[in-house]
Amino acid sequence: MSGIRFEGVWKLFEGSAVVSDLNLDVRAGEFIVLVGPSGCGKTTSLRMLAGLERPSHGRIFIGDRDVTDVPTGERDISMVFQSYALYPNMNVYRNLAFGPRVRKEPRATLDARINEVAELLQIKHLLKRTPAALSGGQRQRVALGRALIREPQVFLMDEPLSNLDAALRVQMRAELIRLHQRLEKTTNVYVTHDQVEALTMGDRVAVLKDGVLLQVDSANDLYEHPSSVFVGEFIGSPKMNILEGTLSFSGDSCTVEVLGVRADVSERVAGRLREGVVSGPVLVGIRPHDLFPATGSTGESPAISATVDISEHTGAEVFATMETGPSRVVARLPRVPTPDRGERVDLAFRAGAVHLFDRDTQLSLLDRGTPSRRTSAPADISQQVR
Amino acid sequence: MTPANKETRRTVLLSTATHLALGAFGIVFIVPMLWLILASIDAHASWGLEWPHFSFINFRHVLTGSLLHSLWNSVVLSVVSTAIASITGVFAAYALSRRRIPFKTPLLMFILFSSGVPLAIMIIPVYEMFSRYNLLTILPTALFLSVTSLPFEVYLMKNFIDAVPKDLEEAARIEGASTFQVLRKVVVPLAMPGIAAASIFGFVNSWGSLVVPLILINATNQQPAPIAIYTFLTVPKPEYGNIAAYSLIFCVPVFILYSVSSRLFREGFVLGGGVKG
Repeated sequence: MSGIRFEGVWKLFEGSAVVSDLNLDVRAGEFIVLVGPSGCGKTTSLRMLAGLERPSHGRIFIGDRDVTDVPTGERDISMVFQSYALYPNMNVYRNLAFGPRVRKEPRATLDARINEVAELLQIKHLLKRTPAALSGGQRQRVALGRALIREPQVFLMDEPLSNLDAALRVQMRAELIRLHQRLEKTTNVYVTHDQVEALTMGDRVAVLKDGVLLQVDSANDLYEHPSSVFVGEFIGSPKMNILEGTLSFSGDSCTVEVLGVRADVSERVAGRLREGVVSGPVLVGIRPHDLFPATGSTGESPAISATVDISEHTGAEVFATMETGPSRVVARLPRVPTPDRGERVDLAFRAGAVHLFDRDTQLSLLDRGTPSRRTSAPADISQQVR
Repeated sequence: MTPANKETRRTVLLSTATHLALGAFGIVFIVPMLWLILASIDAHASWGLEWPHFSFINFRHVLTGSLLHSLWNSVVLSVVSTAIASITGVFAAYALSRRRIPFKTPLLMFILFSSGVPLAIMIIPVYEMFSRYNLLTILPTALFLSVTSLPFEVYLMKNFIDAVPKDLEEAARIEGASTFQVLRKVVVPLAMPGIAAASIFGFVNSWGSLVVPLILINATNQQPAPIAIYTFLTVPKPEYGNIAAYSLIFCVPVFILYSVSSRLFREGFVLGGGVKG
């Protein structure tokens, strides 16, 4: 059972940093998801862990072993590729047997092992077929099976579900979670750009942007306590409304002025406000789920007058883009009656659910979940970075 | 006459002219072939195209003694040179396709251009070298022939290896495969159509080569079939029937290889299903 540790890992490509000072501890047996928009360095980080890329700087550990210079084949890892990477010239059985054969594992147990894995993944009837004769979902299972045959310390997955259709993706997602629960000894690192996948699958989720690790937290903490505007917007759908506002303190109470109304947020910020925060302009984050037609109950902001522009039915709820003064916000409206375009609605937000961010650094002003990352690069590296 | 009619007439005229021209070219190509076939089964063949006095006597004549031995020499020469060129070519092509090599593009250009260097430029110095080291025999000549086809073979195979997805190699490396295992079990099977095409090119290049063996092979009992055909014509009264029969036999491997290669190209890559489309 092995954890994983990235220690100050950098990856430079032609002078620009694709991964900057990555420090990440993954516990043994944990399922961690690296998530971020394309180009954020998540796949590069995974490939460095796999040994397919060499870090420009820093060390990578699997368990207590420094694997930075260990060849990829000796790291005791398995990887599922986005493209599946099945050998098209071999049938499913030979695809599964490829690894054990090149590692010269005993042949006697191989058959039984392949049958066991094939049964687990329900691909036993496909063993004689070539990859070309399989559907997308079946190929996915074979790729998974090939990784499972090894019983690795670390299981790496690079967007394994992104080539499947929506229904199959949901099904495979559930199966992967079940599989992880069965193989609880294996540490999983899963890369995706899909925040829903990240939130549903990961014990913890690491959000990356432009090569920088912004926040590592459980799904719940990421949603409740985003450390920056980016994480706030990236996690959750529809994305968080980010609005200009003003924070003011008077005595014990703390209020925020946003969307033309003033709301008391004393309870929200009590004991959590970061040091040095003073009255003044801030960015206020309000999730669409926390912005709804005013009911006048306690904990709600005063009513905000808004007009419906576009409404999107998502099944259980309707999310509408609304205009209020100069701002446009997305709010949650009831399903019936269906809101019409141009209809006027009085909105209110839950004062206890607002997020406050610094206007310049875009970092959260509330204390939970702020990123702990080095502010400057090691001297030799920062010279190389353009 | 309406413009539409005029247009149709133009098309008909143009297509008739095209067919006539192609037909004329076709005849130019087909007549020698026809002569070859007819003369080979004609007991009294001459240089003219005529209805044969049907007989297999010509084939019986040429498939004996030194003529048969020359065919065998051709097989040895071509198989050895093809094997050397294809095996070394795969390694070179793999390295050029996958490894970071300084000045790779100029190097590739150099390789491509060197495949076009006329043999006449090289043959005298090579003869000098071979004769100094006592190498004017069939196997060193096979080596030299493999070198002449190597640049084009490397270039052709490199393009096919380029098309093998890198993911497959990485997957194999993660499983613990060595570079040689990756090459043998993943890259070579998938680039096989290209490797086969390159090998066929090399084989045909050696098989039909006249000048190189003529200059580089001293012993008459080591000389390949093209020299035997050439020798037929050096006597005052050539046996046209024998020439035709021998030439026809000489063509057979080339016909077979070309039909195999065209099938290989039609089948194309077998990559389907390995990686996403």
